[in-house]
Amino acid sequence: MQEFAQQIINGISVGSIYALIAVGYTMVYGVLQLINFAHGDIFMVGAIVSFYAASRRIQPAMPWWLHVVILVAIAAGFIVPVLLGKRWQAALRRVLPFIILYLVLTPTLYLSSVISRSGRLPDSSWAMAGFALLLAIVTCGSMGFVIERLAYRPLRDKPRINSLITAIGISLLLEFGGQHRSVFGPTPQPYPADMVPGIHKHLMLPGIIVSRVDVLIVGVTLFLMAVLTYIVLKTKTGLALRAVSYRFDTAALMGVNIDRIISFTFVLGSCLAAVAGVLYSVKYPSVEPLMGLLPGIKAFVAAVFGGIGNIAGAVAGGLILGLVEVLVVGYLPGGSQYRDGVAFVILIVILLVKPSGLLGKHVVEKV
Amino acid sequence: MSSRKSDTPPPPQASGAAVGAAIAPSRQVLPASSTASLLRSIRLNAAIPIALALLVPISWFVEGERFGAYNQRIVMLIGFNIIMAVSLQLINGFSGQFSLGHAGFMAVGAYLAAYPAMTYSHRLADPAACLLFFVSLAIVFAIAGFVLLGLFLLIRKTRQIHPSVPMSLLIVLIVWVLTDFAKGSSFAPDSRPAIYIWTHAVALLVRMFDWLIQVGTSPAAAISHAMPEVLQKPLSYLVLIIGGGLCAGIVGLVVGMPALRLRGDYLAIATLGMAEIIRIVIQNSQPLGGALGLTGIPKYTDFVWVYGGAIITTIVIWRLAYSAKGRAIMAVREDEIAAAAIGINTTRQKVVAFMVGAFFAGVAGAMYGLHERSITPTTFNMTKSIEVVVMVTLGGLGSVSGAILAAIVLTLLPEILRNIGAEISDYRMIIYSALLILMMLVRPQGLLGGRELWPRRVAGKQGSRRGFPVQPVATEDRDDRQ
Repeated sequence: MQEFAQQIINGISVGSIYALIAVGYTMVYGVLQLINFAHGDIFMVGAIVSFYAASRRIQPAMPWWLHVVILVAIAAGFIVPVLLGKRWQAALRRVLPFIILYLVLTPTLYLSSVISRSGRLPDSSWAMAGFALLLAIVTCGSMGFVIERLAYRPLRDKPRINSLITAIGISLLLEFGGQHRSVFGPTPQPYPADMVPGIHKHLMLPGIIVSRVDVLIVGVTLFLMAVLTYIVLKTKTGLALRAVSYRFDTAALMGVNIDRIISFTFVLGSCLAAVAGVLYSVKYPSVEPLMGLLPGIKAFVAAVFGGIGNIAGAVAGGLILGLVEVLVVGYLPGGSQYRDGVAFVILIVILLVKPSGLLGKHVVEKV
Repeated sequence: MSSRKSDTPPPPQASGAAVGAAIAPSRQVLPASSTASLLRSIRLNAAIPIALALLVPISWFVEGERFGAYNQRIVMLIGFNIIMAVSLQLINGFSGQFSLGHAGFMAVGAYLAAYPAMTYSHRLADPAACLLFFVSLAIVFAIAGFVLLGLFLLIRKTRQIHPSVPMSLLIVLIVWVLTDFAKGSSFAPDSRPAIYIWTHAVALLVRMFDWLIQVGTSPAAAISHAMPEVLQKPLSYLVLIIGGGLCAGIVGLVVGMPALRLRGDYLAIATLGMAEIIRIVIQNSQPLGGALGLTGIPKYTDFVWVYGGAIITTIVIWRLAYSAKGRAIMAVREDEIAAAAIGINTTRQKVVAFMVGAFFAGVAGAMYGLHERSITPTTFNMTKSIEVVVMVTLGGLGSVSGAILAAIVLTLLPEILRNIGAEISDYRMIIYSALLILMMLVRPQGLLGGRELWPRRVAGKQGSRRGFPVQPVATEDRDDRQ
């Protein structure tokens, strides 16, 4: 019985991470009807950025050629539309977010490098953990924004399969880019999980032992879900988000700025993925560029399981998936070999039995 | 539906729609029984043996000393990739069902050809033994399949009594099996009923398989010995690749029947999941070598076989795609509801496309296994599937020649980049993926975009270069969402 309780706790903890990633999938699917394959890799970016921050290895500046590439790209993005006959104000408005992002992120990079190298933050402290988490969130948020802007927005009125292929392309780009020597390299590296103070200790409850990692993960997830619920249900942006996901063009007629809402969705989902990435690597302290692949797919399965497009469903799906996975590993003979297969079996069963998922609505195709 | 563009001449009735336009010319394609068309078909059919015969002199050059082992390897890889890409083109491009699991079928073909080649037919000298393996496999799986089908039908039958009956039956069954498994891991595993039934059923099937092989071995050996020695190797190879292909095709049928009820992104994920399941099952089955894979497979595939296979694949897919049946498949791609409304059995068309595609993927896998000498499950992972999808997409969905072109370019490109310099070789996969994104942004219809490189034969309109340059893949209009 005690073992069973331990398994359940472990399952909830794994499931919470899946839930955090799945929410990003489901929100993007809700507004865009697009499976954002790159979402699992944004999770990976979050883990790697926090790894660099916690091990004090952030470079103070990007290589010079990257500055040149970015500046040339921004200049081209402004000049080419003007030459093609667009009004310069419109062209400027399109590149303005990138200019702001560039102007904000360059000093941020320098500042964070100084902070992480100065030694002012102790190796194992909440300040260090918070710093790493914050940096991961900022990086992933801006990355989500840029990806949506550059890769998905131009394809929004094209057949959906094009966006799907682009998403696969971005996912490959992030994975292979991460495997390059100058970014991270292909070999897994140990993650400094003890940046969170006392993470290896356990809580002794009557009957069961709970590791602090699990408490941390479940606590953070609960907090973020509360925040997310507040944003979606109580704020004006959340109302707009729901409107867009309910009906795209009608929302536009009602005065909702669709582009802004979609960007917001991507940024929000990416931030949650960043948190999930940090938590995941604290639990399993090893990072590599391909680490986002399986959690990403499993989180997608969780999103489908709960009914894609439905945030509560994604959370429920993530938890159930985590539990099932842990129980299969724990109780089936040879179950650990099938750990990664479980998610796919669940996916196929749910797609065949109830494609709309646990909480999703049944959609009838009309002519 | 109104938003879909069609480059075929506008149909007289305004709302006749793309499907009507795609179906109507099908009668023209079927050759009328006149002397001219007879001559034409002879000319076409003569082209195939000529092309196949041309392979022999080319192979002297490719397999010669001067060409080099490295170049030869690349040429072979291009051949495998052409078969894979063209067969996936039928699924993704023509039937519009976006499959991300092509490597799974390749794995089935590769393993089920390599295993008998190693176990039953040493040095490929025994074609009848290879055949025996596939026949026994078919018998055993047919029996298992019928039992499962019976269970399925039983559950379905009980549904007519009351909907909750099969549900509760299933739940009881699952709980029973699960608790049994849970206890079985800590007690003597054989004493629990569910485990007992499971292990003994599997053991029975395995024993039946062994028995069939045992009974058949000596007649098979006699048949093989009676054959002239020259024929033994090619025949066993043929049996192996066709057997591997058929196994993959049947897996495609089993996978496709349920999965093809899904559409679009869901299907993509489901096929991806199925391919991963196939890979994980292979990885965990000891006779197939587990995670280490099979090594010491006899090598037989050479240039002529691969490119002969590629030519035959291309011709079969081409003839299928541009036949009356192909029109039906494409109609499903254009609009499933409209296709069903004019009397096309949409599920059937999709399954046919899926099976044929899977068959050729299995053939490619079998050839690959018998060329590489060793195969591991990781060879056939998701990256491989995505690679083929990239080829099909870059070539242009719905274009056979585009798929061939893209297979050649995309196999050569990383190698060329690797040869330019050590510095660039680090970036080659990055460039590869960036190319995919750029392609989608700049020219989403792919290199050829649903057209063909060489003229397609259409009666009355000689030398039309057009395939079906309609926007591939049924996409729902945004209004359909609620």
